Amino acid sequence: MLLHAVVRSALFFSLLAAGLAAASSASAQESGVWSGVVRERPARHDGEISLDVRDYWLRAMPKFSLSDPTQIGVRAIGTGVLPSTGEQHFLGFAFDTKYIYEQRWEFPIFGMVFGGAVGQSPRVISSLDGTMVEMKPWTAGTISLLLPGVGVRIKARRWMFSANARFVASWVWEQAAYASGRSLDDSPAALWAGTFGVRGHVEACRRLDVESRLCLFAEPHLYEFGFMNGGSAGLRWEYGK
Amino acid sequence: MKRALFALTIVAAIGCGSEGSTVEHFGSEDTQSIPMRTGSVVVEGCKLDSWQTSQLQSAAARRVLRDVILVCPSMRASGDVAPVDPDARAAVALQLATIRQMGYSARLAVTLSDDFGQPLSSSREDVVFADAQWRANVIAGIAAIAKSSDGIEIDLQKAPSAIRPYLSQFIIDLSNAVRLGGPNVQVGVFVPPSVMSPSDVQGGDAYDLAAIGASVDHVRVMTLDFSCCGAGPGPAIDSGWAVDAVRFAMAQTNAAIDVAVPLYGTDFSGSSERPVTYLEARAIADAVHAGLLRGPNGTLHFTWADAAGQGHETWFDDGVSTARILSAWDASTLPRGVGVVFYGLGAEDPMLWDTISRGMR
Repeated sequence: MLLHAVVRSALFFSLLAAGLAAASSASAQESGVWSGVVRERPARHDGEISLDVRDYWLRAMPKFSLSDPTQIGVRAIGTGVLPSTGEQHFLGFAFDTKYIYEQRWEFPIFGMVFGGAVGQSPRVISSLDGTMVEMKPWTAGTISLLLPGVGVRIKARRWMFSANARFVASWVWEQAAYASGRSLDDSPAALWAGTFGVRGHVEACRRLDVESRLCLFAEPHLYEFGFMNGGSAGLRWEYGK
Repeated sequence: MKRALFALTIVAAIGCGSEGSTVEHFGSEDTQSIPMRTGSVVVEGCKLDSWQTSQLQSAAARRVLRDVILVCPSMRASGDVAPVDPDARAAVALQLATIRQMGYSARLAVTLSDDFGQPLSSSREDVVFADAQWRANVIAGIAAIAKSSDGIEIDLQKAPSAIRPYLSQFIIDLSNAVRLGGPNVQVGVFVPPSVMSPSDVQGGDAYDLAAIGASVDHVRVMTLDFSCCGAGPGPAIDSGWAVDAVRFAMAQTNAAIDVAVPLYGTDFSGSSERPVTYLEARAIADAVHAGLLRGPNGTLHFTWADAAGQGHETWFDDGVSTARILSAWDASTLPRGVGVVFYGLGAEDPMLWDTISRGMR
């Protein structure tokens, strides 16, 4: 259900962003930007889409709550909370969309980040309702919905610098296994945790051509499963004015 | 395009997490610890040997343990309570006094066995418990021995379900008799680890905890031998199963409850099961150059073949696995009022008490 909703939302906002970007291009063509000359009166409304690859770092993974009993070989494990498995790096891929107003103000609209665990992660032994649990953070994954926000940008010749803050909704998951006598039973479902949060975003971009840029960016997680809980950094390709 | 695909493949290959070291983290709080609980230890026999004595004299054991329970007097089908020899009884009393001098309370666990120390058959247990005169005789014998102790525990293994009413009456009468002899002498009972009714373990239905609850101070749930009786090789305890057994007992009585932790291991070979000590298991593993693995509960195990070519699988606990099990029983899982009874002093990892003591809060 959740994934369906996420995919539907993603499609909707992607179409919206693509529409904005197309409208922006059309508007630019009408004003003669394609000719390559520096325009004196930039379009008031622009759109932008971007793709990026990032290191998504959580300083502390969230605690995982199990709200339903889980049946394993020897018993039904009751509800409870499993501890954080500590810091975690993810290799993430993202797309994002923005609305740009007068080349000065930017309003992130919608984006998504998908990530999978990278690097070595410890096997965490814990317990739930008396049963030993092996948590496997190296199987962790994440998905974030990048929600609306607000920011500013400045341009200096081929360079552009911008900063914004936006809301996000993030989920992380990982696999676990439960001790059941001499065997270790894999959890029937992955452990999940989700949160709403706020991220900052700063980036420095260099124009590749008239409509695309390559950017280095950093995104501190102002609040995401906890205050100042890590951040993201990576390389982004942007298309738009 | 090919370059882009190659780069994407490299990135995807790097983008796989891998398993690193092992970290233990019990409870949702940041600090790991073993909840402080009342600790008891069971000694199989009437007398401590020098190793057991030295273990009990350690500061770590004193911190973890409060009660020492000797599995000592034995009820006979004849109505006697052994030892019957006055010198032997004096030796038991001296041992109890020595244990007290070490700072522990000293208790006796009473079994029902024949002259070889073997449990009576179910049919004979049926007969003796149904005999009111037999019950009166053994109660008088136990009450006489109980005067030199701080408590009496009833330790019947695999008692037949048919003795349920007689066993309840026996425990109630015994409690009255023991308390008449000394008001500070407590009465406890070792019960099988049932998790349902009718019981899923042999002997579980012989105990009516609701009926005897008011007459006993302690109910010690013997959450031992999880992998036994033909179930195949495995750990002697499963921490989650033990929680279910304790909760089942708590639902039936208000008496103080203890959960049992085995100090011994088991060597499985074919259909036979043999208890082994930690030191014996380590010695075998060293001798056959076996690699030790940790099971899901942290219990160590290894496989080996004896001189006759017979295959063995040996499972045993050490300080690490026992500490994990105790940590898994945080206060939200088992109330702090639930005590721990360690079974088989002398069979444990020599570092056990130190490991537990350092982990306790």
